[in-house]
Parts: sequence; structure tokens; C-alpha cells
Amino acid sequence: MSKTISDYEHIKRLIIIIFLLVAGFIAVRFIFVPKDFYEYGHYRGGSLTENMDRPLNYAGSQPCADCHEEKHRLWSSSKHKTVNCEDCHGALRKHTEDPSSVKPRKPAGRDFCLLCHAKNVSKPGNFPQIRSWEHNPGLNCADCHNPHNPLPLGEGGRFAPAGEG
Amino acid sequence: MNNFSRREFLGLSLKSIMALMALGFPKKLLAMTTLDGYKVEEHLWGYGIDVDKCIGCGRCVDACKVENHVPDDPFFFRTWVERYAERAGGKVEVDSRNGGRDGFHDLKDKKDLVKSFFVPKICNHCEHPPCVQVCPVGATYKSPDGVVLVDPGYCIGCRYCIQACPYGARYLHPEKHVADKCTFCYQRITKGLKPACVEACPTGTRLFGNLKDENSPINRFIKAKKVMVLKPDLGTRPKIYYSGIDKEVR
Repeated sequence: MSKTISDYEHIKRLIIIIFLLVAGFIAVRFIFVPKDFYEYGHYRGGSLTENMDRPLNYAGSQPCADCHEEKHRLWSSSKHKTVNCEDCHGALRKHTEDPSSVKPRKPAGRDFCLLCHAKNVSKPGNFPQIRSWEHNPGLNCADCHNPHNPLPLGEGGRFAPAGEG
Repeated sequence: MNNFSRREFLGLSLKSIMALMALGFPKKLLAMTTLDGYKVEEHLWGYGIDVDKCIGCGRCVDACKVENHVPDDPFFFRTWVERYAERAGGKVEVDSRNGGRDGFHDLKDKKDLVKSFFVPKICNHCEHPPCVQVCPVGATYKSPDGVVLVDPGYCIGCRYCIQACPYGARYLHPEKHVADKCTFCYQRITKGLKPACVEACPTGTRLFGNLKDENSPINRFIKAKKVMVLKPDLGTRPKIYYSGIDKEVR
């Protein structure tokens, strides 16, 4: 004698299967999607603060003025005022936090100056450039020009012995 | 069975639609967000590049690599400088040895040179970024202040975003094995500092500011100069504004 099955049995089973599938999907999502996802949009909201909290290496020129007041004053009225301290002296965030043990690097010599000032046809014509093979080859630029206040030689560009200023 | 009047039916429909929308809407989008004292929604960051001033010294490339620990190899860059040289007859040469980090030697052959100039390149932080659209996991996104960022903990390193970027601004980090790109130095700009490349630029070629502030450097630049963006026909709406670029620049 066969068991009679109600007319709706197959629909009940189908509903149970669909319900289990949906519940499983929601459970998996709940476990694997981070809590802060969709906080601001289709990404993890915590990623914003993680990007904000990365360590800094450059301090900017303003903190330099706090200690190196005189050099800062000379530099900030010179033609090099747009060249920030860290362009030549390297990233100095660590130096501002611990001035005694972390020292800024001595700027590299002639080759470093030539990064900007070597004659190059692709540079804007009004930018001061030299033909390095004609312009006192082999000499250090700072022997004649004060990097903190560079001037053409005729206008007092030659300054007190190298190292001062 | 209830018999709804038309008025009741429409009213109920409207209420349920509104309830559904309120549930699905990202909650924080409506409120102002303050993270560590930084008011996110008060900012929309933009960036200007005045090509007429660039001398190709590469200090920006160097500063970017130091600030953001970009690998030293000569093919990983968040920003780089290209040199364009147009020859008689319309032939255009582009070079960027080590991304311009070591500067550029003068062009050897100047005989049929029509013009030559430097163009700094960087992620365009598009308003409609193709890289974000293709990311299969939501690991790259446009922040509420308009910066396209990567979530390295969530990135699966599939490289889809790298090939989707029309500006070639992304690379796969060789150690972390995730996509990496310019963040406008998000760690700096959210503390009131300038990005490292802008800080390093000795000629004022690169400038940066808040597009929502009338008097920011970027808005003054956009007002004073005749600016354009790269590949405007793609509809990506970049937020890097160039002044002085030529038709050859892509």
C-alpha cells in the first residue's frame, strides 16, 4: 500500500530548499563581508582611516624655521625660496621629531645642482641654465654660489667661504 | 480580503518605497563624517600641472618614492615625468628614463626639432574612474573627498584595474602583490599638508588644493589659466588640470 502524498508536498519541499539557500547566502555574507563595508559606499569604510594613518616622511619647510631661523630668513627672500628645504636636504620628518640623533644629509655637489640648472633644450627658456662643460668644470657650485641665496657673481654671488650661510 | 481604495494603495506604495530606500541607503552618506578632526565632505581635492614651468628635474618623482615607499625599480611609479619631442614632419618622441627621477640629459639630436617639453604624469583621480568600476571585490574606490584609493587588505591582486586605467597610473606592488597608485598622499592632505610631489616641486609646476574652496591654489589656477584634462573624450572627468599641454600629449 503506497503512502499518499499531499498535493502540496512538492511545493513545501521546494520552499524549504529555497529558504535554506537564501539563509545560507545571508549567513555567508554576514561572516565574510566586513562590518564597515558599505559604510560610505561599495568599499570597506575603515580603509579611509588606514590610508590616513600611513607614516609621513616629509615634514615641509615650516618646521625648519623653528630652529634654523636665520637660514630660513635668508632662504625665504632668495631666488631659491620656491625650492623647499627637503629638496636638497632629504626627507626630514624624523629629524624634526628627534633633531639630535637623525641628521639631515649634506646636499650632493655639482651633479645635484645640475639636475635643475644643466642646459637642456626641453626646459623653459627663461629658467637659469649653464653649459656645465664651459662653466667652471670640476668646481663645486657652492664654492661660488650660496645655495640659500644664489646670485649671479656680479651681484655679490661670491660669498664668504663655503659652509657659511 | 481588504479592498484598497486607489488613494490608500498609492499612499501605502509610496511609504513602502521610502522605507526600502532608507534601509538600503549607506547611512553615513547623509551625515557629515569627521575622521581624526578631518571633515571629509568639506573637501574635493584637485591638482594642477603648469607644463610651461616644468624643468624635468624629477624631484617630484624622488619625493613620491621616498614618502610612499614606492619600490626603487625603474618601472614602478605613482608619478613620473615624460619628455615630449616633436620633429619636423610631425613625428613625436616620448621618453622617461627612470621616470625622470635622475633628471634628463639634453636631447642629442636637435637638427629637426620643432619643440620639446616635459609633462609630469600622475593618477587623474577621475570623477568616473574606470579602475573602480572594474574592481571585482570593492578594493579600490573613490573616497567622499574625491580621491581614488586602494584598500590593500582587500585587494586580491587580479590586475584588472591596472589594465583598465587609461592613464597607466597603476602598478602591481612587487612585494605586497596588490595594486598600488597615487593617493594624493592621503596621509598628508588629511593633516593639512601638501602631497610630497607638490611640496618637492621647485618651480611651482605642481599645485594642489580643495576644489570646494573658492580661494584654494587649484581654483585660482583654473580661473587664471586655460586648463584642460587628459583624454577628455573618455568621459572619465579627471581632476588633474593641465595648463600648457599640446595636442601630442596623451
